[in-house]
Amino acid sequence: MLSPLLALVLAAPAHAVVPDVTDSVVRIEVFQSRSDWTNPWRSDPGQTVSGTGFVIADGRILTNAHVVSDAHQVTVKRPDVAEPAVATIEAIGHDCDLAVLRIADKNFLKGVRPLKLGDGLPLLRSQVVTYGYPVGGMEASNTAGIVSRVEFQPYFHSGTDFHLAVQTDAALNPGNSGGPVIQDGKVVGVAFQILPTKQSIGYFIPIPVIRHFLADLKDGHYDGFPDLGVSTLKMVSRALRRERGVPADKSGVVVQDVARDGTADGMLESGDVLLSVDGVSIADDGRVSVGPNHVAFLYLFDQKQLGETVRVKVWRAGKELELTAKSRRIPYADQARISYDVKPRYLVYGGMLFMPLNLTLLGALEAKQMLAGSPEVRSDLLWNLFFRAREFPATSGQEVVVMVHLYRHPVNSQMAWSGPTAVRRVNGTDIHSLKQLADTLASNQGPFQTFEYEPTDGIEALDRVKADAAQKEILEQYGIPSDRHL
Amino acid sequence: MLLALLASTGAHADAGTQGAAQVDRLRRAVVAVRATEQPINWRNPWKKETPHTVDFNGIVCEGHTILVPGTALVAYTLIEVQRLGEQSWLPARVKLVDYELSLALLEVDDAAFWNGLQPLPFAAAVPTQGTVQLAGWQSGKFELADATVSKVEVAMVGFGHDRLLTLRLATTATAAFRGEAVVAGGQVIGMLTSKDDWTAIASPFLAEFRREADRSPYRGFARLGLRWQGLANPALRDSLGLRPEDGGILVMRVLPQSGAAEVLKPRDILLELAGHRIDASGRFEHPVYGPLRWSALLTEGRRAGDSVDALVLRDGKRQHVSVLLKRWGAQDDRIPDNMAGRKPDFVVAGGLVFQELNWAYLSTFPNWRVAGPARLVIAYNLDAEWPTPEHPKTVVLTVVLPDPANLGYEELHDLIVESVNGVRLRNLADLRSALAKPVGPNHIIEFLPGQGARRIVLDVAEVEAAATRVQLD
Repeated sequence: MLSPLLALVLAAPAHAVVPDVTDSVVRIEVFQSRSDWTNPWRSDPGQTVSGTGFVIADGRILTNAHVVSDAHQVTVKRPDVAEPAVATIEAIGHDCDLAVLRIADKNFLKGVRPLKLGDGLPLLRSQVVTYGYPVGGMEASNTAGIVSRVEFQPYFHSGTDFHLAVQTDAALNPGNSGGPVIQDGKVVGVAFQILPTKQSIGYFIPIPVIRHFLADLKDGHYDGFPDLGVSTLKMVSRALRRERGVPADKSGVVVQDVARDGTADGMLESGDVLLSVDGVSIADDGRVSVGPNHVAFLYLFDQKQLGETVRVKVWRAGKELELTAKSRRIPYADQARISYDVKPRYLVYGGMLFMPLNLTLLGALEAKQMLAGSPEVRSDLLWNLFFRAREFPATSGQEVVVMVHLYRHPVNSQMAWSGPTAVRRVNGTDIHSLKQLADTLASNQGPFQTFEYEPTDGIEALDRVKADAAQKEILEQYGIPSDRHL
Repeated sequence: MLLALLASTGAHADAGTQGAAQVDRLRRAVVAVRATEQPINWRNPWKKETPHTVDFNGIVCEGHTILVPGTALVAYTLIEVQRLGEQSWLPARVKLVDYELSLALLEVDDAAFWNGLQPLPFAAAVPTQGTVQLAGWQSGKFELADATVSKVEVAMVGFGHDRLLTLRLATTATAAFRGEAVVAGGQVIGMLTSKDDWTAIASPFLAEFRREADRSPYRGFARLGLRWQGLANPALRDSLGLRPEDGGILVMRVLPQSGAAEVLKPRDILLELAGHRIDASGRFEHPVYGPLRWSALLTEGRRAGDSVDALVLRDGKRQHVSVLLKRWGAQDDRIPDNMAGRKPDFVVAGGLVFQELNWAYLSTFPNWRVAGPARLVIAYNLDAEWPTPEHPKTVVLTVVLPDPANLGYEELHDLIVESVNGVRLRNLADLRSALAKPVGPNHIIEFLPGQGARRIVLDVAEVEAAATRVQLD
């Protein structure tokens, strides 16, 4: 389990510090307030958090996405200037945990030397120095460490994404997030997360990921990393190699599942042996050489921008084929990412709160113990979120609507089902999106609104005329400002 | 209050509570039982755990038998009984165990054991309130504790389902095992089955079970196999065309292994069962106990194999159907929710270990409902009671024991298997026969999509060689 950092630990370094770097490292203070996903028209009371950022070319400040997520106000303070300045978030990449800030006041960064980005990955066992602002103090500090591993890692902020990350034993601690990692006077990474259960295991986001993020922004819009959408098996088994008929001089991984709408969809098939990507050979254990490092082959796909062509060689049915595809993002994969900076979508009708299923909602239901008494519903939601699209590809992209909660009113108070539970049908129509549910309710002129739930096969009904009439009263009674945000 | 009596003399400490003769009758109606259990290690099902003993009580019954809770006999290797607080323990045999009822009957061959033991009658009806007593042996001492009946209801007991009449007790007793007799007025009114919630199976059912146990073959008691919901919501009732005076419960699902599978359908509204009107919350009016959960009608005076009349509202029409009462147990479920008394079944091929998924395996994972193998926990929660012709069981690759035959697969675990060598697996028997028909030199194993690995290949000769290498210690 990885957790974001919010401060850099104080350290007493005995190593040489490049004097100018500290001047370019800023303290970021953020007032954060997240939506309450079980009362989606509300936000939590909010809290002030702090992190680190640093000035790069063109008057921009680079930091972590998690430092400035759900921000209502962001201020930036230079180490040598007393007054902080208000910053705006120019772009935020939740999938790679990076964000770019800008200060409206052009003079604020006057005289600050932008830090230069390095060109590649630091060597294993080389020394790096991280800079940042520890919690509990206003002064910048720095700490040195050794690069111990370069590996594809989960990026905890989104709950789902994997990218290249560099592991270091530099003493990172909460508070250091967004700070630059420096080698030979240049930035080699952005500190972002630690393994809280282990001593001295910290991670920073390396240059290839940073450059991908910045290049993505060139059109003024952040699109995100592509999703390859495959699972693979290393080709260690001799029986597997023989059965696939792969010649001894070739190596690669065997494609298992292929997700709908990912980069691989239409290019790779289950059973293909993926030999190379853009001319770089994949070893039987799934690794490729990047400089002196050996990293997961997924790195090669991760380097692409959306729309860029990827060229692969595969071994299929006794032949080597060269195939290409355009890099794509799986639209429905966002359901399995933690949401930030969005107002949750919902509909309240007849006192029933409906919301589309996503990882954030599921997490909120878990946190509030709303699924503790219904393991069946919990399993159904997990299955819908993580397994359904693979087991039933035709359902990919369909939204699952959850009846989250029942706001009691005489019109509904005798209902047997009070949520949470997934909605299968309304008025006999299969429900595949919140919008469609709203339309189905609105277009019904019959005497009843009927609801069918899964996984229980339970049913409920509302008297339509009474429910329509009670709508205003329910909203008022429970302080719900609007019946919908679709 | 709790009073401990000196077992050797029968003298009691508090003469004001009860006459010595009455206490002596209770002492002769309950015996101490000790089971040595050796549970199976379901993660490595060829292994057994360290044995331990479980103490409980048994109620002396007619015909030189002892009634005990079935939950105490999950994995027994030896059962012993002790009478009247004497030193010696004598071996007992299980005459009958019905895990679905959580009831068992023991026999003791040594005729001398029965000298001085005397069953108390089972009360034909139980009090719904008032003070009763819990009687049982603890460490060679006979203990009596006062208890109050707080409720008589239909509840789930042990591994069972909610169809047995039970007593819910409130007591100041701090210590109890299971199997204590609940007594009132010189009669047994129940047997304690859980000291966690002080639940006892009520005597009318104990008497039914005792009678049925003498019958050969044992027919047992039925589950109807319905998932249902109440119909209190007036809008729902209106939408279903129910009259306000109708009552009725909605059938959501009919389990395929049940006797109702043939005749009841989802969306039927069950209005009456065995001539009793069922109200909108699923209760019928019992002549003695008042409103009770309808499922008591399955076990009160009825046996598996009987038929029962049901009045249903289907597609707006009232019709009578005859429902066969059928007994079935965990072994008939797709993912059995208990493995009491069952021997593990597993296949090891090339170091790959396969089992039919069951509750006992899942429960080996700490906090398994939340932190257990995700897809398997989902399968348990969604499919456990749903055997289908294609999937009567769920076959799982649980773990890979290291061997050269499975190099490259050593990290695979807890994957639902779809097919082996082209044969879609219904159960472990299918797996065994599929392994006998390899595809050329290969065994091809395919998993349910979405679990990461989808299809692996093993060398047939290597798998055969592994049979002598892989040690199941």
